[in-house]
Amino acid sequence: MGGSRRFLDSASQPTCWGNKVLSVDFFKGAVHMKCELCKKNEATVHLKQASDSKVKEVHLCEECAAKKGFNVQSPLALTDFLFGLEIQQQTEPDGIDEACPNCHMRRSDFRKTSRLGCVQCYETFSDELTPLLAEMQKGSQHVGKVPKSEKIPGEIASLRRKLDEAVASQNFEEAARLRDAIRGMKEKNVS
Amino acid sequence: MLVDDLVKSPGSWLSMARDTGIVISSRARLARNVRDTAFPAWSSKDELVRLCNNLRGAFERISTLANPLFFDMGALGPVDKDVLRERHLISNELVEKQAGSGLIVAEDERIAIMINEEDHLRLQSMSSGMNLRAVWKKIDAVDSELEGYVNYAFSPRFGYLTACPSNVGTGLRVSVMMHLPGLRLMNEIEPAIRGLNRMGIEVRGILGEGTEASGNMFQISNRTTLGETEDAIIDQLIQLAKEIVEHEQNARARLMEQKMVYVLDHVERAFAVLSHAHVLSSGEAVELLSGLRLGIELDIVENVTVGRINEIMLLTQPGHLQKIAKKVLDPEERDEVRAQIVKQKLKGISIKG
Repeated sequence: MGGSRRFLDSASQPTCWGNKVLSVDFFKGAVHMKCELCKKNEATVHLKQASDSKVKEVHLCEECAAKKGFNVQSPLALTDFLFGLEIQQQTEPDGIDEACPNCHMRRSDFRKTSRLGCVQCYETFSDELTPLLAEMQKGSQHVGKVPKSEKIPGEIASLRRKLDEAVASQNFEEAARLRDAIRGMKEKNVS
Repeated sequence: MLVDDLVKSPGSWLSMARDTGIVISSRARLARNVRDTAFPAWSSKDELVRLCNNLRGAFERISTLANPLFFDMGALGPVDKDVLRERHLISNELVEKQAGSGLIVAEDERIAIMINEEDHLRLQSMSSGMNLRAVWKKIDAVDSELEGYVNYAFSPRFGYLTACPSNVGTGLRVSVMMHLPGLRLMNEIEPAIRGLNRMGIEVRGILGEGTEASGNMFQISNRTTLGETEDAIIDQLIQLAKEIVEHEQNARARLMEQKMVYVLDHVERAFAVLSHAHVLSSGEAVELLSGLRLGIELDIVENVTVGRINEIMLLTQPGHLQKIAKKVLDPEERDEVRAQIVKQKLKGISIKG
C-alpha cells in the first residue's frame, strides 16, 4: 500500500521541487500580523507559495482576500488567485505607464485585469511577462504544436538560437553549418 | 435547431459506454486567437460581431466538424444560456456575453467552440469516461484544419498567444471530472488536493471556476500550458488521474471494511430521501445523488445505472428543469419539479436484498 501513495505524503515533504512546480498551501494560523493590503485588519488568510526559486508568503484579512476574488470557503482555485495577485503586486517602474502602440492598453490596465489587450502586448510588455511566465509556467519557451504556416519561421528561430550558442562557445564550424542551414530554410520559406 | 431540441437528448457523450464510475468525463480545450483583432475584452462590439461572423463561416467549411450548429449569445434568453452551461457547452463567462459572442456545437455536443469569450476561440472536445488521448486527437484535428482558414496569433517564443498569460503556449487545458466520495468520507480529500497542487495540477469543484466541490465531484486539470509539449501535459494528467482512481478505490475498500454501517446509512438515506421527497433543493439533490451513485458502484443499490444518475443530474439543474416544465419557475417551484423528476426517473430502484 505504501508505494503508490507518493503524492499523498504529508506536509512534512519539502515544498520545493527540482523543476518549477508551484506548491500552494492555505492555512488559517495564529500568526498575529496586519493585512498586507489594507494594513488595518488582522490577517487571517495566510498563503504560502513555494517554487524552486523561493518561498513567498502573502497575508491578507478576509475582506481584502474576498475583494481580490479569494473564496476562503473553497481553497480549490488558489493557484489562479495567486497568479492574479502576483501580477497586481508588481512594483511600479519609475511612474511611466507605457501603453501598447497597437491597442493602447497600459501597463496599469494589465496589472488590474491580469489580461493582455492584443497580440502586440506580448512584445510591449515582454519585460514584465518574462519573469512572470518563468515563475507560473513550466518554462518560458514554447515547445508544443506549431501552426503549419509558422513551421519554417519557428525552425529558423530555433536554428538561430543554436547558432548563437555555437558562436558563444567558439564552435565556428558548427556555426557555419547552422548559418548555411538557416539560409536554406529562408529560401524554402520564400518559395 | 433550438436549445429546446438539445434538451430532448441527454447529450450522447454522457452515455455509459466508457463510464468507469470514478472518472465521469474527459475534456480537452484549446485557446486560440486571430492576429488582426484585439483580444475580446479589448475589442469593440463591431469588431467582435465581424469576427464572429467570419469564424462562423470558417467552421461551416470545415470537414472535421459534422453538422455544426451555431448559437448567437445575443439571441438567447437566460434559461437557454443556463441549459447550455449545464451541458458544459459554455462557461459562466460566455453566459454574460451578448451579440458578438457565439457558440458552435457539433458531433452530438462532443465538440463545443466558444467564440469571443476570454479568447477569440475556445475549442473543446468532451467524452464520457477516461478518454483524454481521443478527445485531444479530435480537437487537434479540428484545430489543424481551422489553421488553413484563419490567421492564428502565434509567436515562436511564446506559442499560441492568449488574452491571459496563464493560457499561453499550447493553450491546452485537459481535464477529467471525477467522483471521489471514498476519499471525502475518509477525510483524505484535502491532502490529495494539496498533493495534486504540488504536481502542478489544479482541482476545481463541479461547477467550473473556483467553486465548492459539491456532490464529491472534482475536476482536475493541468495548471501550466507553456514549456511542455501537448503530449507531455496529457501523459501527466492521465498518470495522475489513474493514481487518484487507485486511491479512491483504496479508500472505498477501507470504508467498506472499517465503516460498513456508516456507508450503508449514507447510501440508504440518499435512497430514502430521493425516493420520497416532495421538495428537493439543487444542493441537496447533488449530495444525495452522489450517495446513490456510490451505492450503485458498491453494489448496494440495484435497478439503476450510473448513466441514469448522470441523466438525472443534468435534468434537475435549473435551466433544464424550466425547459422541461416549459416555463420560468421560481426556486420553490423548481424544488418541487426537481423532486418529481427524481422520483419518476428512479422508479423501480431498490436496495439489494
